[in-house]
Amino acid sequence: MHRALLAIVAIYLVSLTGLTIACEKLHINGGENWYPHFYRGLQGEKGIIGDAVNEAGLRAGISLQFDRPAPWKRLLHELDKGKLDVLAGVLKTRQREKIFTFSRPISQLELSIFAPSSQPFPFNDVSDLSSRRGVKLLGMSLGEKLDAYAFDHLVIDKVNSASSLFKMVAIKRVDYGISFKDFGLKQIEALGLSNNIVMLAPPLSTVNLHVAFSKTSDCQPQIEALKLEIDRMTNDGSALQIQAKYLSTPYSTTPSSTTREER
Amino acid sequence: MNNAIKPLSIYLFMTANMLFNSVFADSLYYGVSEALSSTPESSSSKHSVELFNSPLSTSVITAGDIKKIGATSIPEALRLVPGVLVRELTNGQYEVHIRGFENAPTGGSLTTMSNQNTLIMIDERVVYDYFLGGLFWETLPVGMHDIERIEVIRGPSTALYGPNAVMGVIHIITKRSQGSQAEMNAVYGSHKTGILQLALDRNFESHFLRLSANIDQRNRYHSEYFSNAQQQYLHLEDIITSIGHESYPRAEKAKDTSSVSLSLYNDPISILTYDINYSHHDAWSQKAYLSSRDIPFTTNESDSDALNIKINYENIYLRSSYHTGSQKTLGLSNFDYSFDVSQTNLEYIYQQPNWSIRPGLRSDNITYNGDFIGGEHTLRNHALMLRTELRPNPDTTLVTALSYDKYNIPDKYYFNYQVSASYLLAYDTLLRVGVEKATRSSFFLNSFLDLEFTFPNNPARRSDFMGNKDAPLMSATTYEIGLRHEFSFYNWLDIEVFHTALSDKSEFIRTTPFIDGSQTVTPSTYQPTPTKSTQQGITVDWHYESIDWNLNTFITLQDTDVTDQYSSLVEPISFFDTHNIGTPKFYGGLNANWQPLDRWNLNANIYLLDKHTTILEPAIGSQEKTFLALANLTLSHQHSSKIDLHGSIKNLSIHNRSQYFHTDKIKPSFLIGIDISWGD
Repeated sequence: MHRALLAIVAIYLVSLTGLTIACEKLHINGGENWYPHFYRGLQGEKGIIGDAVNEAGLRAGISLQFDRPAPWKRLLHELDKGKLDVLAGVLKTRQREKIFTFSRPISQLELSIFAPSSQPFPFNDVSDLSSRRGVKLLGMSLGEKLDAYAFDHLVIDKVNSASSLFKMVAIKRVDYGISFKDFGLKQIEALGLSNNIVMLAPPLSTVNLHVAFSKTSDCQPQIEALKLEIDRMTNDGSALQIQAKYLSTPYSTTPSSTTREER
Repeated sequence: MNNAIKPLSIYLFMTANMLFNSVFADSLYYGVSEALSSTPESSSSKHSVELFNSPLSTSVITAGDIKKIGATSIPEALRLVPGVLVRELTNGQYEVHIRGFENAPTGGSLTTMSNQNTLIMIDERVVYDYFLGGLFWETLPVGMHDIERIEVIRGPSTALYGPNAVMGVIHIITKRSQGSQAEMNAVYGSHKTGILQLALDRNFESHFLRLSANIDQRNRYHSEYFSNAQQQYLHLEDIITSIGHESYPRAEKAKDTSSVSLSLYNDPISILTYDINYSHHDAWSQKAYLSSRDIPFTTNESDSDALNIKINYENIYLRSSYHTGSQKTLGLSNFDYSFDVSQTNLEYIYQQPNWSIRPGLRSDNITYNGDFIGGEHTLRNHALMLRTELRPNPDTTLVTALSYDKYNIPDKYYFNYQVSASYLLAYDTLLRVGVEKATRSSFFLNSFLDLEFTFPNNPARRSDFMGNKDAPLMSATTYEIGLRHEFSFYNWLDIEVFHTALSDKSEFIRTTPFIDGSQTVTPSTYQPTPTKSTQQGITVDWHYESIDWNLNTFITLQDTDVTDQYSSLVEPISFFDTHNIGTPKFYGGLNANWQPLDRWNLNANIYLLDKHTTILEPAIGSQEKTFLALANLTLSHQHSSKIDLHGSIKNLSIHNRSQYFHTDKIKPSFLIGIDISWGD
């Protein structure tokens, strides 16, 4: 009887120790090669959001472990199952809000208009698109307000791949394509279409990027502390200072009131 | 030991790094949502939509799914689709039905029991057979590695794709590579199964070429045949057949098919796009179609050439195809025929911010030449089509597809429609309702048949068959309610509730025999019957995906009623009602994948079919089918980026019995295969 009791106590203590060991470090990851938001630089830098999470960890006295790169879908699964604690650089959607918690916005993405080089048009705001035909990726949201405007006023084709999108712009099958700035420029370069496509200024809109936290992780106290510190950094200007290391003109990280919807 | 592990771990790390560096940072950010239900499909709307938003009951099987289950034929892959009944006749030969109705009403022949109600298309080219309607799977010039995806629509779809899409559409979309590469796929296994496919892709600036060749040879599971008269499986020499033993020259062989396909196309996003495909097939097979009444099987030989041209210029879409060939049934030479099928579709797409309209013209010209119809005859169908899509608000979509079809046989107009509405109850929940009506076309046998058939083994007996050009066309009307819900991006549920009514059925009805010289003649004429079949059911389809495993399970529960079922097709006819006789009350399956280690995938799939009774005309007989549970296992290993290896064990079941009347007793198979690619 005593032995059994001792065994139970021992197992309990071991499991407590295990928990403690498991929460000594928070596991963090992010999408790969997402300059300047999240990437693994040669000097140890991790991009705007990675550096911000690192800084918040230092301030809160929480050790962070950047896990090995993994496919995006696996990261979302791991975050949902609590195998990953923190995901740096995530768009907030209603679908994701069901299973993750989010920091305040810490960086932003610019949504831009790309037009054929030989056929650019004056662009100041979304109303300049209304008499033209555009293209975007299937399933892509432009944000709540723009989606509502597009629904009533814009004719936008949907394609399955980014290469199709930019090729359609290049051959003038459409008047414009909508894509996020950095991704779009990278794709255009990879497709060898730099001479055929121009990006119009100003950006169509910006979308906030957040840090997402697991709801099922065993390390909720540490996660809460990290989240609190990140939110503090967005208030005290530290987040903007990190942005300034990467961008000539930092984004304003005003709290986001919009939630992107997938559909 | 460490020396061995180190290079291996470096190799694995480098490979993983290559893979991971190519992934998107945020799937949603790039527009490709991570949700399982976001698989694109284009058959239900004639443009790309996410499966979650499809206005119809739609499923998609991707090339990846086909590879994971080690499918060696299209029907085998269709066992992954909810609402589809798949029965194997012999090794590699199948009968496929959407939502059943295969033996309702009962009392017909094996020919009428085969699926006459589903339209099958390869890249929008209809490959239906118009002899007496049907899907001749062995004649499709497509190898499994040619397939990009298979899209299945459950429900009447004549308004979208033309006659015979009565219970649905199976749309095979073939691969269009945009690089230069070569591929070789080989499978070898039990029952002398041997499949070889070669494909070559080349690009010439913005023009692309794909050449593909496919050989598929298989033996039957056993060489005995079921004798309807003796009610047991016997060697051929022990069975007396009215069409002679020479009609079964290779009793052990199930199929021997080969095909070649050549595609020339440009980038599909060009202002002027073209896609030209030429294909040729030769097929030798045994199947249960044009039965001799002595044995379920007949031997068929066929060959055909097909040309399919698709052109898109801005908002104008043109598709035209020509298909010519011949079909022979050994021992039933009266029913040999040659055919020429030409089809043309012309459509215009006009799009505004929240509505679009797609008017079009469709024309089918089908000519068959054979003794059974006394020479050459033609079936024609011309149609005006219109598809509209309206979104009065972001959460609501109203889709209407209409077609007004003019047939030459019967000389009448038919109106087909597909009206659906979907509403987002919440961002993750879609409710949809629909009503659809479709008609089947006339066939050559029932329209033009004018045959005096003297039995070779009994010249004193003769059967005369007379078609009917005025028989009404069978039609189906379906009401559907569907609900899709995403619990999470990796967990979603698709439910559909349906009610279908089939009406305007006609059958060959035997009238009083008479004496003509030395022969006793039994005349049969194709006549309308008052028989109506109705079906109500529910299909539930659940998908779940985890990190290293995923699961899809689906089930259909349905009730099938036949009113005014004929007791026999001999006058005077008496009628009665039946309930759940020919079609099973439930069927479904489970498909699971597990990646225990990098590069390894274990697939297990189970297919279930409830008990049911097949009742054919008295001269052929009936058969009670007990509950069928069938399991398949496939283990695949990606040896390198260019070489894949796989092995399968198929048809594991407690009962190795026939699945479709008294065709072959289906036995376990063991297959191994290798896929090798070169180039980009």
